[in-house]
Amino acid sequence: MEERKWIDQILAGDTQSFSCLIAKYEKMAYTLAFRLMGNKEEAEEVTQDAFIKVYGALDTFKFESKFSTWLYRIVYRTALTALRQQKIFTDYDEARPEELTEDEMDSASSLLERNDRREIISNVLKILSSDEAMLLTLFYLEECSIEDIRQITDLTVSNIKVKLFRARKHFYEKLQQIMRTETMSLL
Amino acid sequence: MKRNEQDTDQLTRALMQETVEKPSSELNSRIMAFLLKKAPQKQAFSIKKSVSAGQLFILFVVYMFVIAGGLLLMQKQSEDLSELMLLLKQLFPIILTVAGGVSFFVLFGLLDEWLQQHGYKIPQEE
Repeated sequence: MEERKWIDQILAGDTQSFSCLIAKYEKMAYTLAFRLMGNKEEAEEVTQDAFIKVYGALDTFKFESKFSTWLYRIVYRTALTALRQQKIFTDYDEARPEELTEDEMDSASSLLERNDRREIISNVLKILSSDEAMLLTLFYLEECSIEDIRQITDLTVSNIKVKLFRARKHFYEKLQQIMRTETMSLL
Repeated sequence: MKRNEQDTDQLTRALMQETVEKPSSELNSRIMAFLLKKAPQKQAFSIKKSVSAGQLFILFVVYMFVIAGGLLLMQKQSEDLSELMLLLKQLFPIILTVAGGVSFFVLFGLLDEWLQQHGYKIPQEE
């Protein structure tokens, strides 16, 4: 594993090797920070602070989890500190939202063929609450497992599953709304 | 007919694929500049360029021979060995002082290097 080699070098005194870790993870760390903070400047600040904390705590990392999981946890906690909040998640609600409708799925599928899909989906993620955007990013973009997300956020597994399900439902609802609005404006 | 969970996950993954946000190009260098300013100056490896004790002794012997050779040149016309020995005896303290001084200079240089390698530094006032 590359990270192990770099971390050994850094702990031996080769600070420059930390640049390799940053290069590998800065985009994902920044994306996560951006989902939580909502703007570029604060997201960069949080990302920078998180990497500095990672450097300072590198000797405590024992490879008991993936390095990415550990890093994202630090990014998440740094963002919460910056937001001056103890948590960003709403209270736990066991009720599972409705399944996705066929219309919602069709709207989303048609988006795959569009060149501007990135912009549309980014706009949808901005409309969602920060906890939902973050969960979708971790699970579907970074492909973290439920267990990884549990380690990052300290939520329970069942809580994560319900919130993820709900986040996905909201994501498709908003996507369909945006595409309907677009169609209406063209008529 | 409702699509299954796997299809939904696959579709969501495909939609999310290009939503990675890009930080500024200076983020990496900014973080590294901060860390390098704070980090003590440690090297991952060092090139050994110091003189060993054996080399030092050889240097000392060479000094002595060079000085003795110089004196021989100066006294090349003198064929009286005893006069040469007397001259050497008179000049020996000077020769020893010069050779000793140069050796101490080299020795303190080596000591300074050793102390730096082992992390001893004069504290810098900020």
